[in-house]
Amino acid sequence: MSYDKIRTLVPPKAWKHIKATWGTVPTYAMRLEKIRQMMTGLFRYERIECHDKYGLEIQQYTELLLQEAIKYGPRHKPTMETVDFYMIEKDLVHKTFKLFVPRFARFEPPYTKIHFIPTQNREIKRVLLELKGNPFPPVEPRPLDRKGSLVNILLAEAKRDYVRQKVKAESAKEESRDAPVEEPVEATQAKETTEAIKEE
Amino acid sequence: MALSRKFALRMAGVDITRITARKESILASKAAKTVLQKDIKDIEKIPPLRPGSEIPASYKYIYPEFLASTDMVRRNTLCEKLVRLDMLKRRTVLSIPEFYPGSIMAVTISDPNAPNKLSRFVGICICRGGNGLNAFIILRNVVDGLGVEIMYNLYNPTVREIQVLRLERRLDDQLFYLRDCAPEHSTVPFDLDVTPHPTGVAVPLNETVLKLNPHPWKTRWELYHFRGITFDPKELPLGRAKQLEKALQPHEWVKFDIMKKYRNQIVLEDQEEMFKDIYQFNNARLEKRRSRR
Repeated sequence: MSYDKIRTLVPPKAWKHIKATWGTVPTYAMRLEKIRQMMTGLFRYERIECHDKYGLEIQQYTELLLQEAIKYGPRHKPTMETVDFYMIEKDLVHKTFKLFVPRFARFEPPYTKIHFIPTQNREIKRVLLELKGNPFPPVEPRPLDRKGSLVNILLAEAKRDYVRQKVKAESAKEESRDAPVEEPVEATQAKETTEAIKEE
Repeated sequence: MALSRKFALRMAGVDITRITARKESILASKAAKTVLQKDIKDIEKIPPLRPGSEIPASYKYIYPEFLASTDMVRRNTLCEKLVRLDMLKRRTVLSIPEFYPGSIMAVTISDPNAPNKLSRFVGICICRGGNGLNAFIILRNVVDGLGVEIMYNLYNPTVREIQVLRLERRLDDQLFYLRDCAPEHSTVPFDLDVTPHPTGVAVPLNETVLKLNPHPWKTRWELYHFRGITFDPKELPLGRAKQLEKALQPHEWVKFDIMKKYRNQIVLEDQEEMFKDIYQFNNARLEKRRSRR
């Protein structure tokens, strides 16, 4: 099996610095157990709050797992085993293949988003990790629609006026340029008319 | 879900820091067999590196030095590109043939202290490593009953010629265990004739299994899972036999750690970029030869 490139905003430095140890026996396998528990939480609630060193790492694991599930599907044996390993509650295996895979087939990677939460102590960094397309209200504030405010209306009108004046000035310039080319024609016409009057 | 008892015990009991890294041979693996055992005559049958790409999958084994290091922190795409161009420039002057660890080679370098200002060394290629301009090989030979190992940087400007006297593969990627085998396995006469490898034939796999000398050894070969050696586990010292049992236990969590697998490999998208230059270089050479004819 080969993976595609992960496209996240996680800096590559974080990959080395995160050495999560947890439990009474801090081993590599215990670390994987912790990741597994947090992944089930993420897939259950679609948005979790955690310490940044866990969040940044779990994001990468979820990206790869979803990538693999979309690429190979449920009938591929090794992918099914990995999904079965990471989902401790087994109803989430159905959720990944029936709900997440058709949802994320529409999105372009990355499938997850991470937000740093403000904390009282600056040394502690907490993080909000979420799957895209979740039912909760968005974390980032929506850009407000302020077209209706008085200042914006006045500014828009001022802009329009400025553009109108410019167009007028340009058209006037063009007329003035075109005028000397038309003068001789008018002059000949005038001469003809004067001659005609004289003949009469 | 509760863990199965086997799995939970294994997780709690084993201290992984004690166990050394396991080395699985890449060149004798199943993936390499599908690529390398086929003859070059049916080059169209060699699978591509990635579905839909021109580059054959055999480039992974023939030109491993063109791949960048897997350390993401130290990687720089522009630097890698410039290094690759430098390597191709060197290859226009010096021909670096196809070889694998286990094949017998001869390297001549310019040496001001040697007679005729040239020194030539013949030996078995034990190891091949490094990436970019730092690519190196290690040759081993026994001269007058003394084991000699010399490391050569392939792209060093002092290197005059690189010859392959006998082309073959072994069961392992690294043959450092020859230090603890009988010296007859690593002796090569300096005036060995070249047995030219016929074009269009697959590289043969040498499946000799060597027996290690009795204890003590230079390093603990039993922990590395080499395929090309045998030894009696009863002859090991007391403490080591227990540790060997621990080391032989399969770790089931390794299979599921996807990020670990991802960090230790280079993604196929990147591999395709790295091999693009050498592929065009080889094609241009072939066309030149054809036009001369």
